[in-house]
Amino acid sequence: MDQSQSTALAELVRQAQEEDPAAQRTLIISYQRRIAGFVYAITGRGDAVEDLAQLVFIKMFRAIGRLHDVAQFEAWLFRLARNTCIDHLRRQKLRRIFTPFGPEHENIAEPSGAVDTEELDALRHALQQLPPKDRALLALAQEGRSQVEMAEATGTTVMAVKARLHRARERLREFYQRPNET
Amino acid sequence: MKPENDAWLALNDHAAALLHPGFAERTLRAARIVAPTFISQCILSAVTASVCLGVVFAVHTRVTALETARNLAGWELLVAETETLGQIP
Repeated sequence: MDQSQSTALAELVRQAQEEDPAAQRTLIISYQRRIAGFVYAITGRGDAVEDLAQLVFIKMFRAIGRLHDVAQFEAWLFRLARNTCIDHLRRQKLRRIFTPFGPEHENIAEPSGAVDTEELDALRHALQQLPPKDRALLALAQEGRSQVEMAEATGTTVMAVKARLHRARERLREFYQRPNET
Repeated sequence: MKPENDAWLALNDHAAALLHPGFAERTLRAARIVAPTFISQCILSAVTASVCLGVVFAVHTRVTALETARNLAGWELLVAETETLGQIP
């Protein structure tokens, strides 16, 4: 992101903090694609994307007034999205304890025809083999977040993030098989 | 560029396609609905618990009073019958 884009984003965030509906709408439209992708990468569920993306933006508007450093907006937004997804997965796990359904009912895999490319299927499959926190770390890295930002988002040290990210990438590569390689 | 980078882009495209038209407007509308605060939820829980306790206490008092009245009537009947029997020579 260049200087002019950063300035424009900071201005947009300030307007959204003043509850300007046009600025809020622009923020949603600017980030909905990336947030949807981020949520999808972590949850692996197409049916959860819209609800969770909406929840992320609602939380964003409720908390944006408390964001002092507008330059940190993106890092803050993705941290919020990460925590929302991890909470969702944790609640789902808890719900499984109290409902008579087995895990096989909760995690019905999306049919491969539901996604449009084989590459995407391979990535989805590889991501599903990793723990949610590793998926979140990979998604944060893919979003261009720095290791310092990732450490803040996950509440660990930069060294721990480096090691975990390295391990997660290795495992993703291990499980990721491009269609022409099979 | 890593081999899976194209797949990540496809993942974002696929996820974005899962959002129904009018997502921004729906989200803004939902964000404007005032969410109940933690304190308001605590107050509501306390009021509900108080009402439940009040109902339980009222029902218990009424049931106990009815039972006492029934027992008293039984005893009065017993006393009357005993007195009647005592008057028989």
